Amino acid sequence: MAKKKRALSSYITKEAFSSIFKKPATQKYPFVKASVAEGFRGKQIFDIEKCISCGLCARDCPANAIEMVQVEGKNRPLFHLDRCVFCYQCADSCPKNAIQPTAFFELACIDKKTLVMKPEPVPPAVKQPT
Amino acid sequence: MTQNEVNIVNLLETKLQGKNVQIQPAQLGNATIQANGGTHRDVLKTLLDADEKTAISAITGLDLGQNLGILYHIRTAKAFLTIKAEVPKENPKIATIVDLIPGATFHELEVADLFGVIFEGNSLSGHFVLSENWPEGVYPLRKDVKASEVKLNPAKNVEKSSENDNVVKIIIGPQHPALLEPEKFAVTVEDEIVTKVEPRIGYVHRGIEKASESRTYLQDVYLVERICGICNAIHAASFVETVEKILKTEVPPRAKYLRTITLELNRLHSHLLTLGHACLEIGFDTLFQYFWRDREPIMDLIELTSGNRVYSSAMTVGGVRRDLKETDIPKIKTTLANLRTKIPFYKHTYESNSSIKLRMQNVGTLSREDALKLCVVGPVARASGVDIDVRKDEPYEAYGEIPFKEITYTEGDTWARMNVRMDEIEESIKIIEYSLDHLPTGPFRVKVSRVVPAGEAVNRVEAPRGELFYYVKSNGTAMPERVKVRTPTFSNLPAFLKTAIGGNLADVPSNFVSLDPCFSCTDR
Amino acid sequence: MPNTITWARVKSPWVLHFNSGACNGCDIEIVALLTPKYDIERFGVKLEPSPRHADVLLTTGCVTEQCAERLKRIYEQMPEPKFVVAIGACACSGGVFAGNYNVVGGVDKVIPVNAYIPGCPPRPEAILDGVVKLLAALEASSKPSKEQPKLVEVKAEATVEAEVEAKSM
Repeated sequence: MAKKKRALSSYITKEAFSSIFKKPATQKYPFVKASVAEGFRGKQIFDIEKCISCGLCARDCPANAIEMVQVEGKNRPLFHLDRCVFCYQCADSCPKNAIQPTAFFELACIDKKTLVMKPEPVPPAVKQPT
Repeated sequence: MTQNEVNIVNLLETKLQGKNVQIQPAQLGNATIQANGGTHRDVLKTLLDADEKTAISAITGLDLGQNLGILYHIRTAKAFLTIKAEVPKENPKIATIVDLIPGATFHELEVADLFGVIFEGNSLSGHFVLSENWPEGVYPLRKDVKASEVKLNPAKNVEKSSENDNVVKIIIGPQHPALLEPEKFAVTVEDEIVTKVEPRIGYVHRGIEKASESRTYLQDVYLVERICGICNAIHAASFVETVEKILKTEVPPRAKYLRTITLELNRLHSHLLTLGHACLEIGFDTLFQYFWRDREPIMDLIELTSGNRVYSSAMTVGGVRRDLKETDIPKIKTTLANLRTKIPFYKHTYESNSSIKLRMQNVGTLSREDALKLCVVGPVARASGVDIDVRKDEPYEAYGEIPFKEITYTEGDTWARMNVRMDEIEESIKIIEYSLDHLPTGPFRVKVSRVVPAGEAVNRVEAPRGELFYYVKSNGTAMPERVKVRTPTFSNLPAFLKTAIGGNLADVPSNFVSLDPCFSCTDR
Repeated sequence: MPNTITWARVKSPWVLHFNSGACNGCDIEIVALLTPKYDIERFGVKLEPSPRHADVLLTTGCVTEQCAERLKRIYEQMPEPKFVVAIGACACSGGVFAGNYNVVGGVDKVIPVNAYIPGCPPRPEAILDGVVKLLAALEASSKPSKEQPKLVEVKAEATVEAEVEAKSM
């Protein structure tokens, strides 16, 4: 009976000892790239060419993080990333799929004014070849 | 009407003959009873005599224009009822029910704080969720009060010390290493033994119920999800289920199973979190690190199925937002199988480790009688031998079709509460595996209108911490008229105040964590 | 001598965590930083119980009226030089709760903030990234020892443009 008791209470010791020979559980970010699942909801990208200025994204945003502003005479969404909760209701509401998710999440900054995503035309280098 | 409803209506009609009550079956639960002029106490006495498990689930306040409505939501062993009473705004007085059900104290205090109803006979006074510098006579949940126009008095905080040398009042919180959330407990100790605990909550009160009235139903799903970061999926699920009851929409079977999988993954991560946190409070840091190391693969699964480690944002009115990919199912099964192999290690540690036994057994014991009187819910109730679990009593989503065990223990101490959670982890793994094996094909979402027709509904679900209750009233527009949330920790708080008395001061943190408190849920 | 002090502060900042009205999402991600997978103790960061011992204050939560006064008191109790990191959308600006009664909305309305980490909740790696950026800015700043240093933004290497370019190829 004493032997069985000792065996049971040594579970913690066994686990602690065997951890020395196993791979460490730590993922050494930022020296190693973070492993992110596919479909992770990070920062959005906005395709201005698909936008039809309907304003549904701004209407449905639960955090009021989207402001419609005038760009070249049309209403376009401006994203306040300091208020955004990355729920992607804007992407669900957009009838033209102009808002797409990326896996980018390293948004920390010193100055809050940089946490704004203005609607800008996509640079020519990134356009898909026809 | 179901047989249950027939029985309840017959019982009430027989016992309450001659009293001024009107019984409407199959409304707001199994029946609604309109009871004015103090007759709500007679209805409650009838129900208490008929069934020892009668308990108060929530008390909702309503602004009806000239009058204030008070809805008492009562839970019995076989039914869920609502008693409706009305009082005029100029003289909002109603008789208390705390002498019949002691667990109703905090529920009445909250309605008094937010609506201005005076419960005659309830001796506690002062603000409950609102801050000390809140202006007098302004009741935020009344319709004539606008959130942006409230002006607060200058801040002040007065804490009087006691005169007796051996009696010391220790303030724990709002900033304290043992607490993850801000709340204040004034613990009165006499020579190391706790004699009284006075809570002060409301530090996390963000006014969510009022805010939900000025946002659309679509936006409200994300708002109520953020009541609590730990049990977020269940809040969203309960809200969308209540709205679907008003809309009378039937959700496709595949959506029900996908919702069940999300809810059980949420339960797994929450229980592992609490088990680890409890070890941190008794100083067993190694076990805390092991529990949270084994919790990380579950967070990865939540991220895989929904796109975010914590906020799955998977629910929407009419179904779920994302489908589950066939390629993800083997990954989920492998991770759960790995977690299952770790459970015997944790169970043996709990049964044999002397530190855990010394610090958790016979600490914070709650008897079955007290558990029934104080209306506690969830693992706290099940550890004291009260077998209530909404997944079994009133199945929702796919739980009616999935076989699983309801876990109860009889000791009622901290150790029993932790064991209930550990056994529930095994049951959750079984539920997810069954759901994955029997996942129906078909659509995962139906389109619903943005405007909800006028009506009201109640809904209760089993959150990781206990029974979660929602009441939604709609007025025919795209924004709700009233959303009432009663979270499980709100019901369990009186249990902590009772179990801490007579114990050591050093046992207060571990006793506290064993009831799995979530103050962001309580304060809303 | 002054550089040694800055070096010591950068290599081992002690943090205090305070929840000023949060839903717990950001708080559990902060506690996850202490656990084996992310292990913030590699950077010398220690979780301190008392404001008097801490260099960096990690705040979460849209500040509620009841917590505003307590947050100010905790900030005043910390010794100079001290830094504040606002974690989560609620701490940056109030998030979904901005505009509610009882909510002040954003930590920078009560105390000065040195770094913002948006997200709901931000991943533990994002919080680590924020802390690393704060330390890099502190190292790059010029003022020694006693005075509160002025922080200089350090340009991040990963940007969305690079990611979008990678996606289009």
